[in-house]
Amino acid sequence: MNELFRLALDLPPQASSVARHIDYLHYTVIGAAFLVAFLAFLVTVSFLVRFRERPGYTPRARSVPHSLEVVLASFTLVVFIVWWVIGFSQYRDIHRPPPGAIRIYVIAKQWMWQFVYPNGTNSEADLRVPVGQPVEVMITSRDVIHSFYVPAFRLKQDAVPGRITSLWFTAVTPGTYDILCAEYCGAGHSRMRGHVIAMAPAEYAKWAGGHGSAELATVGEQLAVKYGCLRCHTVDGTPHIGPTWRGLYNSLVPLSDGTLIVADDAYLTESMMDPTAKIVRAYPPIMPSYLGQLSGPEAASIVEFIRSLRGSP
Amino acid sequence: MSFWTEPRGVKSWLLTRDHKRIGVMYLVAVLVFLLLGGTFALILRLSLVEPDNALVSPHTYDKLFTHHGIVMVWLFMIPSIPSAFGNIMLPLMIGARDVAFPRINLASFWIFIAGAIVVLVALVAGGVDTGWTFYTPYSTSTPTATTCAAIGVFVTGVSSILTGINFIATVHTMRVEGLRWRDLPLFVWAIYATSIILVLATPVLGLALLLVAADHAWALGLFDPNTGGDPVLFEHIFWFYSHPAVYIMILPGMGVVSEVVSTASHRKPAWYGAIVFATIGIALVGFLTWGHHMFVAGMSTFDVGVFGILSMLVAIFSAIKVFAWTSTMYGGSITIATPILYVFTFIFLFVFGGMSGVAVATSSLDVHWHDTYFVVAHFHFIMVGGTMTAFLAALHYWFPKLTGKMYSETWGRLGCAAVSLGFIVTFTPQFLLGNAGMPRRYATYPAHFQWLHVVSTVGACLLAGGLVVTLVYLIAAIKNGKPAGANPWRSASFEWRSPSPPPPENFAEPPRWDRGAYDYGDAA
Repeated sequence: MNELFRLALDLPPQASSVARHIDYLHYTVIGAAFLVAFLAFLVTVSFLVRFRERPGYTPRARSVPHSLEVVLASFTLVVFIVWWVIGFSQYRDIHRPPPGAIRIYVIAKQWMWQFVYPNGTNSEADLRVPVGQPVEVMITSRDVIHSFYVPAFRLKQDAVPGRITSLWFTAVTPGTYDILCAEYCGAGHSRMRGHVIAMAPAEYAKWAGGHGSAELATVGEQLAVKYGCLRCHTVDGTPHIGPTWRGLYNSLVPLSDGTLIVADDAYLTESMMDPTAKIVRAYPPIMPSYLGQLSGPEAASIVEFIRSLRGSP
Repeated sequence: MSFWTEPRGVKSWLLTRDHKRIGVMYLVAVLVFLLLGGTFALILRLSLVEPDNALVSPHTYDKLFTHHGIVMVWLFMIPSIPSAFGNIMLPLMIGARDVAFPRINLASFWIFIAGAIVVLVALVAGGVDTGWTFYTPYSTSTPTATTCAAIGVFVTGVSSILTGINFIATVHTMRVEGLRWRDLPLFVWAIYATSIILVLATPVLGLALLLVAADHAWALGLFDPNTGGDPVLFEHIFWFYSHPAVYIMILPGMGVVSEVVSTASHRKPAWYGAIVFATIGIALVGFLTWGHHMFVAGMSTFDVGVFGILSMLVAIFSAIKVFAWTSTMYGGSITIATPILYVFTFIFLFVFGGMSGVAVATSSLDVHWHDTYFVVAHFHFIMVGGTMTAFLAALHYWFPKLTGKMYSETWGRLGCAAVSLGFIVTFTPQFLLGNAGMPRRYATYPAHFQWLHVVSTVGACLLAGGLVVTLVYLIAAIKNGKPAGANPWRSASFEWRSPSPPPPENFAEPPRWDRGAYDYGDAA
């Protein structure tokens, strides 16, 4: 029965512990919507036919008693309130993680998902979780608002810059499930996709243990060496051919056109891809573009490296 | 000696203070914007036939859905029934010579046109890619024409406020002697309630848009966490207007339905008091439900509960109206014609659309549906299935009064069938797309969603065809239609006592309220 309704309503598989319960409420509410709309259709059609103006027909003097309308309205209100009670209690549940849930950070940025696991492991696009264990996701964004959406889990939560939002789930069936961005975030919005890979607990433990836990900033440092960034940019605070990276992140930078700009993720990424767009005052516009050479995650790693360069060396 | 020809000359139209002429100019303007917004919608639907969207680039797609939303919401939906039919019919229905402030009425129209031009300039000068919701910090950081569009919408808001004040003053001070509040036609009540929302909510939208425009133009960082701002604050301010705005769009439609049902059934509206109570109830409680747009935005769980229950309450007012409309038909003597057929479509779509609204107000269900095609389908059922069908019902119902001519009933029914069927085929698949997990505002999508998109696009073409046909036969009827006579629907309502089309001074003789607007001599 559950499977029949699920397929009829084109719902994805029920891959989280809450999905099935939420779907039961879904079937009830949508079933009622169909029923009520169908009744309204039948009643109006039959009235249009029965009470249509025609020769030899005299309208009735009697009208619908008010008591019937009061009963109908009260009944409807009671049904709505019951749905509210069930819906709200389910909503509360998905925001109250059980003790001992695995905490995974979800970082959204235009247009990728990044995940950070308790042991410091990072992954991009693919979120690996063990089946049968509660996982709490702590979600934030680096730039604009995104929304972390896993249809098969029936879960969604906005990723808001400057805030951490959270919810929790337990995956029930091993498999790969889509992660979609559900809040419009610009030209790459519809391609900002990822996967939840739900693994058997033993397999997950093996993956988490065997995965080298290189910090994102460390990866960024290696990339900065590889691409020759450090030949022009220093990391100790001294100016060179280009501005130093030490203390650069989120600082106010004077530009050649006299304006000031905050060196945030967006600016730093732009400077890699389109270096002549905004030139720092007193530096020559000679940096080559890395557009097409650096991938999104690579650029993010370098930003992360710049971000780690705070205070004095 | 009708208001169309007296006085003569282009200048007498452009600078008219006659509420009927101003209403007609609004009507022409909103129909043009309906065509424009509809064209955007059709391009969107056509580009969604393929998962990889070969028709337009993703960035163009983002601009198209933004333009579709902005044009449809602020240039068609908000002024559609209140400014066009409210202006033409409100004074006639209460036996007045004009609105309370005819000059302000004219100013309101030209301010609306000025705002619309600024919006159109924004669309042409690079376009806007923020979505009609202008969510920060995306809207304040995109290089597209946010500032210009926000200022344009702000200006149309000024026009809304002026129109709202004018209608409130008109209902209070211009009623014909003997017309008491408890006898006011339901369309007048609906316009009155709508005006309250226009006056109270629009300033908040104005504030929100000015902040966005200033932030975008001068990078103030008002909603940017890097400078201590909060993007969610913008969502609160925006929805404080934009949820009540939904009732700005639907309440006048409900008023039209009340009038058409009563006239077609030749019966007094059942449960008149309850409809009035529900109308005012929607206008007031509608202000307290905005948070249901933000169930996944990181609001506190407590807030989600409060906004959830208040949303259920506002839904019950709509349910009361549906019961009242069907009860009015019961035992009546119903003249079957295009307006009541549109009302029939309205009731069916509004009930299903309303129930889907209750569904998305149920917080745990909304977590899955939020920002998917389910929500898109839901609000199109209310906005297009509800407001636009009511607009078309009003257009056919008052057409003979306005023009003095009758449209072709055969074409009317064909048009109604095409629009209704086209609508259902367009938007029913979108509920399923939402269930399957297709987020809205996607330029490209995973291939397994494709067949539902194809069905939806076929429906959109049918819907567009129906609308074009309707426009064509209505324009043809202005020239070639049969004379309609003063009261072709045999309505008891006051506007039908004036000749068709009405003279500049509305009534040939000073009107007297000797008989109620719903006095059909029945026992109801």
